[in-house]
Amino acid sequence: MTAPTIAPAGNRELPPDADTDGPANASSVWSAFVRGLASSSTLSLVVAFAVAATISFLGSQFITEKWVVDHGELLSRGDGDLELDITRSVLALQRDGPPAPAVALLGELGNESSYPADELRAVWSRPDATLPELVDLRLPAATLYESLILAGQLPRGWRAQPVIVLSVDELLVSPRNYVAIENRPRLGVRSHLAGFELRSIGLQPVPLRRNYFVDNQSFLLSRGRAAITNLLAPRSSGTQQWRDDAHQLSRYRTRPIANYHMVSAYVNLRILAHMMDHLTKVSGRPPVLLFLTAGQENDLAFQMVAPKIVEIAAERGAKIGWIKPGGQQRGGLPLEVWQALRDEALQLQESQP
Amino acid sequence: MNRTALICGQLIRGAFLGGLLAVALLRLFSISASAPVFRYAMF
Repeated sequence: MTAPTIAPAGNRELPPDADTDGPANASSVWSAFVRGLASSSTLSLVVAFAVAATISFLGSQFITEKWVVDHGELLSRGDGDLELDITRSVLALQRDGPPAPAVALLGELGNESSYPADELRAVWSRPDATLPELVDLRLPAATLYESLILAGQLPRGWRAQPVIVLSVDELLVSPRNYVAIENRPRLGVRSHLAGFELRSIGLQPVPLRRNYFVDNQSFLLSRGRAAITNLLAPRSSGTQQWRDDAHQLSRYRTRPIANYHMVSAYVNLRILAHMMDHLTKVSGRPPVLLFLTAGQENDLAFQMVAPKIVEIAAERGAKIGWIKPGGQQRGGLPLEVWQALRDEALQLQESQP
Repeated sequence: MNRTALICGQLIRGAFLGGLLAVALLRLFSISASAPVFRYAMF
């Protein structure tokens, strides 16, 4: 006697468009899902408008200068993210009003990684005297335009000694690149001063809307990926006062700066003069110019711009320092310069407000 | 089940399009220098 066998039931597949609450197999569910993704519907349209309106509203209301200062680490690309650190420092300065006396450095960062961070720290911190704060707003491969944006953000009435670190390369960048820099900014700040300067040389900057989210959307969008990564896997990233990570710096220096022209130097010198005037107005003292003389390849350019820089500085009573890096293409500030800056800082502190 | 999948698909499509629309709107507000109506329209 044989046991009764059960015949296979066969493939009882539901039609793919069956809208039923009954059992459904994986392929019909998947095809329904794909149909929802691919075909237009009233629901997707309503959701699209709702999402767009929500992003616009929440972004413009809540992603402000204050949010970037308080929660900006969410946008960080990792430890030593200079662009974000500088953005947050400047926004904090603006938010908190004129801080304590300080030395504010703007301009070219150079290759400071060649100097040991400990030695630099030792220069700036002395046990016998409390030195003014050092606000370091230097960018690697900085352009004058970016320095101008930062200068335009410094709070008025700040008892600070501004220091502008210049390089020949910085003065040879074609101002045409400044509009491109504004469209793909490294910094999450913009200023009326920089926009006014661009207009005065015949370029059309992106207009300011007085809303942080709208004005700095390119910066914020460029950090969307970092924000998603940080949200999914939070990590701690502290502000790094001393930039001693050579690897981090090297990736910034590869940023191409095209269209070098000698004619550009004259436009840039004019921008420099206006920036110095602005800094004098803000801090009440003329800025110190530190000129990083580059390698041999820019000797001719250096000989052409150096007399003009001397002239501009002399007109404004500003001090100039010429810094020759030893054997490097683009060096940072050597220890002797930091010592000189420390002496300036001590004078600033002793002077009456 | 199929209906739920269909709605999920539509929601994801809507969210994606909404993101694109938000970016497009931001660009419009920012770049349209020649259209002063946008300057004071919303923000």
